[in-house]
Amino acid sequence: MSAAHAGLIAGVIRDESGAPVEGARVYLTAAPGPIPDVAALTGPDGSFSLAAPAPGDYRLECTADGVAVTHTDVTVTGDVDLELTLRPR
Amino acid sequence: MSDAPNTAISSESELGEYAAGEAMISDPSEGEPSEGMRLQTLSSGDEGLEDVPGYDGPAGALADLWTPPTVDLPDAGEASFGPLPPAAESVIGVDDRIKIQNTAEYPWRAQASLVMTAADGSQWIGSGTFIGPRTVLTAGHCVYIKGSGVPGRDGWMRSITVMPGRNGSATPYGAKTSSAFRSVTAWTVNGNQEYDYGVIILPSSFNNGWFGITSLGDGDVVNSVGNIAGYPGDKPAGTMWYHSRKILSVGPRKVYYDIDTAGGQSGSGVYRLVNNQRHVIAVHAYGGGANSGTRINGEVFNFVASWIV
Repeated sequence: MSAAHAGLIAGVIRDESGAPVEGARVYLTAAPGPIPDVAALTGPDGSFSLAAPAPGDYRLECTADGVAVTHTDVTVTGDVDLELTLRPR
Repeated sequence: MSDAPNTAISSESELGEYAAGEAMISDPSEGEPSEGMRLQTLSSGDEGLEDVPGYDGPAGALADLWTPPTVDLPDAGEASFGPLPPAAESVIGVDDRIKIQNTAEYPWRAQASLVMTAADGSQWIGSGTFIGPRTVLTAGHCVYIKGSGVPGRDGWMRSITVMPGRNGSATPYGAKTSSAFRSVTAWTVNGNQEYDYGVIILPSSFNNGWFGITSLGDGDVVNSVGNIAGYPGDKPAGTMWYHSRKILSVGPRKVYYDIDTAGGQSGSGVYRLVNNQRHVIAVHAYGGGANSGTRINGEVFNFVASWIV
């Protein structure tokens, strides 16, 4: 088991107004195999990128204080580009 | 999995030869909180888990805790774990993690929230457990990114900010930032998940106490209750959450469990609690598939013990 790379799950997190959210926490909760249990913090432009170690189905979650947890399911066969909107709790 | 030569590596200058410890156990300490801090430590339950108000423990899993192994456990490595499920989640079944309120007290103050800044400037959250006055045990991928697929990201973290006992916006011991890390080449060069561990060396001590580390035999590991306290990203920022369950299985270099975790808990010490003494037996590193940590086996113990300051 080595640190493998099947694709990149990348994207931008926005609030309801469409503005990028800095400091949101983005992490994977389900995967076809073991995944490092870290969370990315979005940058000033709301961007993030996480490595997907193996092809298959992933669930990505995102949250920030004061908003509900948002999730999306993606199938990784290569790089994936996402845009997620956080909504108030 | 071949056993490639594995040596200690540092984010700073070359390391000297490490000194192998004679005993595979290091002592915990409750620390000496600074003046003004309430000196209180918590008593523990007698079932290998922490006595946290409102926490009922691992339901249905306590009947056979702390009994000696009744069968010979083969050194079967991953064979003892079996095949991974096709897909699984880091929170398994009902999420029964509990929020720690008194994070400034031991043992919670020996846990740390980490904010890591990678070589490309990207930021990440993780967790760590103090194992010495200036030494925080964590996952290898918390100190050295490998296989990210992003140009400029792989390599030693640029810096890590360590906040022991953090509770939301409150940092009862303050924060210190370090760029001094240790890991092993089986992780930094080969990216082998079985060697995914490292430490952060702090410039000075918080006097917040620490846990011991220990290398146990297979039977003792699988008969342990695993305890994890850390900083999951799915909860309010910077809050500490705790969960415990009996260890599921063990391989030569990995420990498997269904203790609930979420992204941000990489690096938490998986510890056992015996006679009110806390010793880390694995470093939580992976969710998904099955939750697992890097086992403190004899080799890992010797490397990590040689790094403690």
